[in-house]
Amino acid sequence: MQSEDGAAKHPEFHIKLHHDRCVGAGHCAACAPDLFAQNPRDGVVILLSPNPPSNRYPAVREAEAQCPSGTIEVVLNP
Amino acid sequence: MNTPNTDVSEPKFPLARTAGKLDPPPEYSQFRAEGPLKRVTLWNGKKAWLVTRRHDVREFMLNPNISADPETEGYPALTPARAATVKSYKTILTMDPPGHTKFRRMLTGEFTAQRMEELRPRVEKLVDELIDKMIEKGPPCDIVESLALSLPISVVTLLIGVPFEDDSKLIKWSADQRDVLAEDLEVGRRAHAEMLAYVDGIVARTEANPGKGDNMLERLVLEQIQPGHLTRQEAVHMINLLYFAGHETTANQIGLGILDFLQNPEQRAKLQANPTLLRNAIEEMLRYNSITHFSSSRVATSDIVIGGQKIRAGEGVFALLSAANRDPTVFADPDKFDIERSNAKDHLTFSFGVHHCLGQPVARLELRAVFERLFKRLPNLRLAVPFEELQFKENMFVYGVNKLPVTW
Repeated sequence: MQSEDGAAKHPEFHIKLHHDRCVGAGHCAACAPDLFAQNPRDGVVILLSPNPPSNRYPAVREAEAQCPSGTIEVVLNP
Repeated sequence: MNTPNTDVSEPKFPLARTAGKLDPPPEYSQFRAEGPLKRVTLWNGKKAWLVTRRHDVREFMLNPNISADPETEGYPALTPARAATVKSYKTILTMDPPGHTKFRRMLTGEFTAQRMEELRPRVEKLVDELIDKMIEKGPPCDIVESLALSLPISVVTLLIGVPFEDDSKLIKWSADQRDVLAEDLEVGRRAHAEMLAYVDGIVARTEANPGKGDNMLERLVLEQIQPGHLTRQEAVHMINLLYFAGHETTANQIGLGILDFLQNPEQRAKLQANPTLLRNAIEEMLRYNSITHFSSSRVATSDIVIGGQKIRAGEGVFALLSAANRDPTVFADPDKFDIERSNAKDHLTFSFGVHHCLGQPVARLELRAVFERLFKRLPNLRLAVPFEELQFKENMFVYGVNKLPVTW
């Protein structure tokens, strides 16, 4: 999808986390360090920004795909 | 005559690497093409399912209705040696949630991105020192012994905080416990018992003098054992696992990774010409070599459907990470070692789901440190013996090469 000014157009979305599943692999924090961090105590994901700007959509989808435990869910806004 | 094993529709498992030592058994391609699940016959005549497609392996490993606990009815034992020892490994590898989650989270804080950044300069220094020693001694040398194995042993010592007083003991105990084709079943049992007794001594000494929590073992004592979250025995099993899982896997991957490049000089030339390929090259060797080649053993705890086919409660399953990593519908020309492969990182070598490898950031850190340096410092590195003379660990739970004689 391309908008008129040539920039890629991404859907509006928010992030839902299933904390109980997190295994602390840290892939999300590597994919999008502006959005995800890890609790230094147990490595469990910390969401820095539940409603990131839509241009972060590809990075968040990548974090969702790389997460080995199904902790990250990307929900498209209605 | 023993008929079950001759039934071609339910072939024997495990299978041999008849297509080449760097390729999985060729039957996997056929199984993957045939359907989502393949029924196989184990050594004891029992049946199990193989999952071979990447998508299905991922989905299966995420399913909450599977168990990694050998005590669960129907858990498939790969070989007699595995059956003899696997129930005595009381670690997070063979636990299910919620117990698994509780114990794993005692350790995950040790493997965060920040911790890895603190570890990086020390690992890089170790690699340089080991290569210095190789150069000082001069060629030829067995690079498994002088680098591939020495590095992870030093790193695991750094991580846990207590050195093994005798590395050769650690190596032997680890090897004896993971020879899946061993005929003398006592060897594995004895090695396991001896290693647990040794580690018990390490934990006991740390309990007596836990310091200020400056290393992993001291933190485990202060934060988990003393407040009563973890028993001494549980801690011993945990540290035992970290000692062997922390060195054996990475050692084998470093050895095979070196061999990948020596066998594919055009790929090595690409890496030397363009060091930004390093990260992807590491992912590609992880995909290509899939060193935990018999993983993962599971049993269904209720009926589940994979790829439209049913696995019944109590049936054993091997979700083959090594087959998933060569799935041609995901990885184009999957049997080629290609460091420019755009989706190399989609491999499942560190498994998937709750048992995703805890130490993977350390493994990646060590691999990057090695391959960032090795061919720069030894640009003429090559095999000192013909490839055909190399001995591979087909009998071991973690695949690799026994010795890798090189010269430069």
